[in-house]
This record gives sequence, structure tokens and C-alpha cells, in this order.
Amino acid sequence: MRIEQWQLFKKVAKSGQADRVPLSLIIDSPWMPGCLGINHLDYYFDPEVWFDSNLRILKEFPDVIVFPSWWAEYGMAIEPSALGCRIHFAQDQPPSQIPGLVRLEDLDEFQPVDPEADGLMCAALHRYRTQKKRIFEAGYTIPVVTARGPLCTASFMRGVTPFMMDLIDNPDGVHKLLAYITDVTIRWLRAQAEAIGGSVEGVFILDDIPGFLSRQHYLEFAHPYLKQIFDSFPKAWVKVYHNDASIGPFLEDLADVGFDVLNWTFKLEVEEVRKRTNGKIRLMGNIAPMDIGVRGSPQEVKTATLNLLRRVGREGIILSVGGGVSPGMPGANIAAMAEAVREFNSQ
Amino acid sequence: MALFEEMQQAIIDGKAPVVKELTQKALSEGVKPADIFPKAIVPAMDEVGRRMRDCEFFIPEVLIAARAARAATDILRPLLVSDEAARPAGAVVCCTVKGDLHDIGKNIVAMMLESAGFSIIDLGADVSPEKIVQAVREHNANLVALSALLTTTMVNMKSVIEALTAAGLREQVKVMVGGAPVTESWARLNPLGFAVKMFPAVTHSLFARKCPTPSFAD
Repeated sequence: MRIEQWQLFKKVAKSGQADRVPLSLIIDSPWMPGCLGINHLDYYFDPEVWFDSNLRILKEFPDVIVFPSWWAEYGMAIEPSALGCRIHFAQDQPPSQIPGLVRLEDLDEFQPVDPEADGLMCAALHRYRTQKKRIFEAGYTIPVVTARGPLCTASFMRGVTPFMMDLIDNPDGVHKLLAYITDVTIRWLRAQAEAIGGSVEGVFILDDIPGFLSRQHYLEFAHPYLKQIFDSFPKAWVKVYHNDASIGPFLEDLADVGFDVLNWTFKLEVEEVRKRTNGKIRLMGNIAPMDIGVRGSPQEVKTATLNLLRRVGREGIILSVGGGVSPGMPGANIAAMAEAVREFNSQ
Repeated sequence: MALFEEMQQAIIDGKAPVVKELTQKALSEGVKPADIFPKAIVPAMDEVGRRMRDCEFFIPEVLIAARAARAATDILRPLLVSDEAARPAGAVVCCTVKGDLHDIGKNIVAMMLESAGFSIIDLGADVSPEKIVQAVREHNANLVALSALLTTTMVNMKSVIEALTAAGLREQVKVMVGGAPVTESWARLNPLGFAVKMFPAVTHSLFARKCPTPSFAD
């Protein structure tokens, strides 16, 4: 994203007010290589392909605030790769993670993670360090550091099914694991901020797994660790949380986690989220990513976007899809969304 | 009667060791293995399904209940092999599709169907269409249950349909799909069954009546 786009995003995130509604989309490797017709492995491992791909997208959609801006990522593999999981790469899709923590007790044998040296964290930091100069010189900024949340990473380490049963079978062991991962996550985010430098003034956490839980389990296992991560960074920073799973059972509680902006599921209407979070957080959403974003025509996308904006107004809204941009979303539909936002802002 | 109710409660509470103990006790008291499914396991898992639908239970609670039910079915299944009346309600080939290693949805569905009396052929995750076709043939399956968590991999469900059609098996099996990105409208575009919430008793009774087309209610 460009610096002025970040300023607009930040203004809405912090004050809820702006003279226009920003359009911001979470764009990453599940979507970008497919859209550009390139190989996923080239995107991940060839810095020239990575740079050119991001630049092409930014130039093709100049009105879109690509979030979290230039993102050195490998699907969801970075955190698990540093935590003992085998990473399985493929030519035409993001990598998968194979759980490596067979028993919770094995955590006792884990050595402290060093983001500068371990797994794909090292590769991502190197990417930022070697590419940031040309990114800044091209007129863009990197304002946000990003990580998967503690439950998401725990699920990669244990496997989702065993981890879900761990919550009931061994809550003490789960707390120990989550405390460990939270510490790793904070250090990983700080390492990114150090590698990127002074442009960073935001943190972005993605964790859908709390959406599998009851409110009681959310309050015990998710809320304190998410809060610890967000609270570890300056209050002035923009803090964004993505969870497009089922957040209904604990929606009110999310307002107290310590983030400014929520990117959530299209299945919950803006009005309900506003009401239940008492206007405490700004909302980044919530066009249906598959039914409208991928399968809708450009006209349907434009109509849905305008209808949403006319219904919910400008205050505290960053227009987006309810989740990330899904693979297969045509560029024409992104352009239609941008056209709708432009039209709304001009009224 | 009290024993069945005790078993039901233990399954709902996810207490696998208690379920195992009660199953063995029931058998030692002369209860027919074939009676334990409809009188204890199926009603318990039906209640679990209801609680999930009504947001009283979430994924962890459902998983441990299904695991508890399995503690009973693991004991009962070998005893039922020769019992014509207690033959499995149907044979289900289930897996997560090629390219996708997420298995939680598949595991839940497999455990729920197994507790409802289906025979489960669990092929695991990241499974090719060819392997699915082979399993359908080998086990004479009448239902294929496919899971995908990723929008990138859900398209591989269509490859399974094409492979089943090419193999001449499409009329033999119903295909059920599920997973976070899968919507009913997508399933309808690709003539597939779609299960939002699963109620074992419903599917069990449909198969028990030799109904060829299970319907999966929202």
C-alpha cells in the first residue's frame, strides 16, 4: 500500500471517521499466484517473482489498500515451520503443515525459537531486509507485521482434532502450549518490526480457531493470549484481528481484546457486530467472499457493495470481503468493488 | 433401561472409559449387541447433534462425545458381523480431498456416522480421486463423504465426481460434501449433497429403510 493509503486506513482504525470509506482487501498467496498465472513455488522462493507479482497487483488495483501491504509469507507455514512441523509444498497451491507435536508433554523438549534463524521465519525476515529498499523506492510502505494467532499455531502443531480434544482432556497442557506459542509469536512480530524498520506501526493477527469454541473455552484459552499479543505493542499502533469463523458466541468479548479493527465472517451482519461490540471496534468487511466475490458477476459485486455501504454508512467501516480474497476471485470483481466504493464516496 | 440411559449420558459427557465399562457390563448382563446401537449410541449422538445445532455444544464437546461413542462401537462391531439384523447401515468412504490436509470436519463426520451404525472407510487427508474410486469399488460403498477446508482445494471435489462418473460408479454412490468454504449453492452447482448439521438418527433411519437418497437437513 502507499503511505497515504495507510494514513487513511489508520485514521478510520483509530477514530472511526474519515471523509471517505477505504477499500482494503487481505491479499496473499492463496489468491495472487492463481490470479497472475504463476507457479506458487516461484512466488514463494523467487524474490523477483514475488516483487513483480505484488507490484503488478498494486498497479492493477490502485484504489485498493492491499492489506497487510507487502507480505513475506508462505501460506500459513511460517510459524509451524519454526515449531517442528513438516511443511509440504505444492506447485499450484499454498503449502500444508503436518503436525509435529505428537504429545503435549513433548513441548518440554522444545528449544526456544529464534526467529532470525528458525524455519521460514528466517526466510521471511531475509525477504523483508533484501526487498524493503526497492519497495520504499517504488512509493510503497510496509506498515504492518503479521502472525498467525496462538490457537491457529497450536492447531498446526498438534493437528486440529487432537488440539480440540486437548482443551477438555488436558487444559493445563494446553495453557502451557499456548503460553509458549504466545511468547514465540510476540518475538516473531518484533523480529519483523526490526527487519522492516521505522515504517511499522501496526500488527495483524489471524486466528480462526477460536471460532470453533464455546464462549467459556474462548475466555479461557483464546482471549487472554490474544490480548497478551496485542498488548505487547504500542497503544498507538493499529491492531487488526482476522477471524472469519463463528465468532458469535463471544462477539461482545472481542471488543476487549485490544485490537482496533475486526475482519470477520460475512455471515454476521455489520449492524449486529456494531451493536454487540458497542461501537468499540472498527469493522473491515463484509462482502461474501465466495458467493459474491468469486461467483458473482462484476455487476453483482458492485450492487452488493453499494447496497452494503448505503445500508451501514461510513462510520467505522473499511470495506472488504468477509475474510481474505478467496482463490478464484476475478480481477474484474475487485475492480467492480473499487468502482462501487468510488461511486459511494463521491456521493 | 437405566444402563442404556447411563451409557447415553456418558457418551454425551464424552467419558470414553465409562462408556467402555458400561458396554462390557451390558454385554455381560446378556444385552444383545444389536440393541445397544439404537437404545444407547444413536440417541446419545442424536442429542449431541441437537446440542451442536442449538449452540450448546461446540467442536471440542462433539469430538469427545464421538470418541466416547467409538469406545462402544469398537467393542460391538466385531460382535455384529454375523448378525444380519445388525449389519452396517451403509458403507461410507470418507476423506479430505487432494491437496488438503485439514481433517477435523472429516473426522467429526466419520465419527458421527460410525456411531450411527455406518461402516466407515476413512482414507485420511490429501486423497486422490483414483484412491477414492478404488475404495468405493473395494468396499461397495453407497456414500462418499468429502471434506475441504480450503477454497483452493474444494474444487477437487469436482474431480472426484468426474472420476466416479468415468468409473461408472456415480449411480452407485451418493456424494456428500462439507467444509468451511463449501456452501449449499456451490454443492447444488455440482450435484452434491450438502450437510450443514448432521443427525445420525436421521441418516441411520434413512439407510435402514433402504432409502437410496439420504437427505441432509439444515
